[in-house]
Amino acid sequence: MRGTRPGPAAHGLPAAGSPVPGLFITLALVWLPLFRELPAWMVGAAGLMLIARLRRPWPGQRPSLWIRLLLIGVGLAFVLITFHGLNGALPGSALLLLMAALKAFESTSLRDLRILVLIGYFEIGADLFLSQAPLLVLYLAVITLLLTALWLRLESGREKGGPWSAWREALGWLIRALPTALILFFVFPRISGPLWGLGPTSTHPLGLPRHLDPGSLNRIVLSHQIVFRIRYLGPRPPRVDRYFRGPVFNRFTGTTWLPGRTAHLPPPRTTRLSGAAYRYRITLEPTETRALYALDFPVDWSIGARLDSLFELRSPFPVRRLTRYEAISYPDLRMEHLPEMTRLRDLALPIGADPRSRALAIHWRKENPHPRSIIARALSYFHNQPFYYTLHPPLLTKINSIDDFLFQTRRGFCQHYASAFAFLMRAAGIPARVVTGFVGGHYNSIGGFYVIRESDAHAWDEVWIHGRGWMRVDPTQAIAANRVSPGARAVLSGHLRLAGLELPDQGLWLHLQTSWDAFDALWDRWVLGYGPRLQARLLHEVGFGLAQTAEWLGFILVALSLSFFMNRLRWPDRARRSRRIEEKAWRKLLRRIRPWGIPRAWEPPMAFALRMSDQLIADKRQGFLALAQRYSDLHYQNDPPPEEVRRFAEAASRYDPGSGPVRVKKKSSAEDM
Amino acid sequence: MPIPRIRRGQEEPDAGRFPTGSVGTSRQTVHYRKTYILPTPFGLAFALMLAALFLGAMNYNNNMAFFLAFLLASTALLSMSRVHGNLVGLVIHPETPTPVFAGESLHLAIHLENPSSLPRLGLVLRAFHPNETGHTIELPAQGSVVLTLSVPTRVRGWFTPPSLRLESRRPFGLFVAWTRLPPLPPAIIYPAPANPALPLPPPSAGSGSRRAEHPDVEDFQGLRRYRPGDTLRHIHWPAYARGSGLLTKRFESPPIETRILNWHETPGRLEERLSHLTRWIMELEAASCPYGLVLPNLHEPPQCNPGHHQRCLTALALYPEPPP
Repeated sequence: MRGTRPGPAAHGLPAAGSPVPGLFITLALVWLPLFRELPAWMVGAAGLMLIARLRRPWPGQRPSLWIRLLLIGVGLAFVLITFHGLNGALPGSALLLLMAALKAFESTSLRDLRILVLIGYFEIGADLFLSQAPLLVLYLAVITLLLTALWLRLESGREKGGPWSAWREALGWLIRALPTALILFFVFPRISGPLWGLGPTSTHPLGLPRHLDPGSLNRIVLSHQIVFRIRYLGPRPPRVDRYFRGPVFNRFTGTTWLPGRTAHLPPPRTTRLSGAAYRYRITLEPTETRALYALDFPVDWSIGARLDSLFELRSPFPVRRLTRYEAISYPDLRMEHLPEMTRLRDLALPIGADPRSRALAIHWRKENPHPRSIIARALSYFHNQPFYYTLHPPLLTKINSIDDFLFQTRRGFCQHYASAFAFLMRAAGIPARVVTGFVGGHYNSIGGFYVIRESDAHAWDEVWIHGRGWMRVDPTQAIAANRVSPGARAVLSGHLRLAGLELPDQGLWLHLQTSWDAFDALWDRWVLGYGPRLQARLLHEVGFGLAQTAEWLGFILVALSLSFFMNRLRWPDRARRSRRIEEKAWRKLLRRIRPWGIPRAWEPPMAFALRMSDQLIADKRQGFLALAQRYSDLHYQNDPPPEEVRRFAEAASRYDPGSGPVRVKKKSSAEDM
Repeated sequence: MPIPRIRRGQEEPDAGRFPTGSVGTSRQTVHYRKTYILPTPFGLAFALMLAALFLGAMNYNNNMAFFLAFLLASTALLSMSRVHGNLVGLVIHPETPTPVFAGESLHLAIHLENPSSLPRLGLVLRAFHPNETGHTIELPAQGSVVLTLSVPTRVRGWFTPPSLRLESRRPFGLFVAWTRLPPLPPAIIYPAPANPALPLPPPSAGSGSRRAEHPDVEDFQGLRRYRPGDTLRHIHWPAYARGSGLLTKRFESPPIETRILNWHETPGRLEERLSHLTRWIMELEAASCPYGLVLPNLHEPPQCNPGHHQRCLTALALYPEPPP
């Protein structure tokens, strides 16, 4: 390719000062945010290829075509096997990582390195596809700067100036590019919606799992990622009612709770609204699932979603971007009729499993068949028996896992208790199901909203009480406070808050956390939420019509001409900066001689210095005039040598004006004027 | 590689071919209307990458990726006007190329001055016939520099230097800006000196005889004041003894052999003969011996000075080919 005909760099970059290692390090940094998501072998292989390339002397031979094709084929095959396809940001990034590593491995010319720069920029974008958290964006901004600096060095072919000169230059370019970029960002017409399938963006989708195994909430409760924010429009519900409903599970296999098969049915009609209603607005992070979270029990909402027979609010498609919706909930919803089908299903238990638990439940029922009494018996059983709350429970047996938990290990967290409780209720003939979701939330006093994180995930139960409907029971709260393990106390925020186990506020840290959450919310709302709708509103409010072709063309033209104007701005150059050094030193010296200064007419420095020297005692005058002469020489030189400037500054700062300025009467200084 | 156009056996190419003032070596300023700019293949690849990034951002509704794409696009735009600014306003002053021997490289040199406070990045000279690229040079603010480009030569005669363009791709290599330089004046390419050399023709009759008889006698010319560097052997000691200071005896340079280089005495075909003559001239010039040159169409009397040397070589370079 003649166009990329390499400059001096082509026929051998010098080993020292070559931008190649820096470029490789930058590429590694670009992929760093993905290392957790990518298989370890892939990261290792890419690292090995980079190291192998660096160990080779520079104008190395390209590996033979067959080896390269083989490596590409193997890499592609592995990516296909690992991710079952190539669609989506994550498999794409993985493939890009392998291709970049291969390109780096075979790189021999300037052209190869340029391609690496392009891949690097694209991968920064791919990182952003996976997350746009403010800290990551900041990190990637630094990486962009680094990559641009390396690109500049690559193009200039040699190292000039200090190691920071390329950084400075790159920063200059990016800053000058900023105004145009901002204009384009705000006015460039946006098209909403995905253009093609998105594929998985992450191996760990946000939010709650689709099945409830013992331990499936384990990862979530340890994560501090924000799931949604909620702002109450009107009164806030009391703390005991802040349960946000997520997936509901009503089929039990003996170890695992599965979502109900009747979820597609509409909610029971025979409901009565009573008690207080709460209105609120939720800003949901992209969760990649269809679950929308709402306070128990939602009756109205502002988004295209439907409520199913389990009172789950479901979006018609996976939530892939920041979603805001308002909803109204009645915590005290009454239901009158339970269809027979549903009743049977919510009593079903695997045949023959967990005999001791069944026996216990039947025993309770025999003593007092009233459902409320059975519930009370079960809760006091959890409270009085030595049940412990811990995030690291022992493993349960596959068969009779409920028996194992209730009578042997007695250690677990919300999901174990909810599961065991539902089992006991069903065994005692009370329809019951497990509900997962979030509880509580941290109040952000700056933003005026609550933040709900993954660590606020929780599981509880609902039991059917005839005449009242589904009633929430949270067995985890029955555990005695002194039986919560210290580790769980430290980690848990939402789980135990309702039981009054909240940690005392931690002063500064809490304040920082609150500010950060508030910032995060603003970031989400205004930066990440900027889209076609906000754009139309913004343009409309500025006074432009909506998406008039001529208008946005005009905007873009303004942006382009702005970029030409920005090109005139430059960093102050080195000569000017060193000039400032001698001038600063001279002024400092003058201030030491006479702090309040002498009025200066339009006169050359020497004439001024002569006048000034009258203020000095006689034997100091000579040294001062010599300095003035040196300053004058430097100041009127076209290109003063930096080391002389430095020496002058040193001499000026060392100069001792003696016992202080000669006292000058006010009158004489007035004459100076 | 295409063979450079060559004009042989002609008078100097017609100066009227070039508009006055644009030919050769006058000083000129690069005008923005004569500065062209196009994306490089790398620039197109960059645009492709940006388009992919933009589509991805659209697909994922990802504002930060949008912003990255716009930031990079804006940087590219800035660099476009910077690349253009690398050339506009430069003062160019081509040098008349010095003659070389056929087969050597002709060095084309262009003086560049930067009257502005904007450093000019990545300046490089390029020729297309033959395809040659010079070294990349940076010209600081208010600086000046000489850019050179070597083009190979093959045959003797008039050589029209290829048309040159001054180009720049810095800072990012996304765009290339160029301006065509005014055509350089044609250069004379001397015949290639023969290798191996034939023995020199014997000195012409009478020229070296006196030297053979009185090898140590030189013509005494007079006295002059001693200058540092004069050899002690030539100091006039008797004068010094008389107290008239240090005087140096001056002598006429020794009469050396004068040779006539005759075309008719060289063997071989036309080009070989010219090569032999060139070689002899080079050797005699190096030894500072006077020589004359006899060609069928030219008779240069024996002499020894740079002008003579140049005249003889030019005559050889432009010797007309025999009609076919």
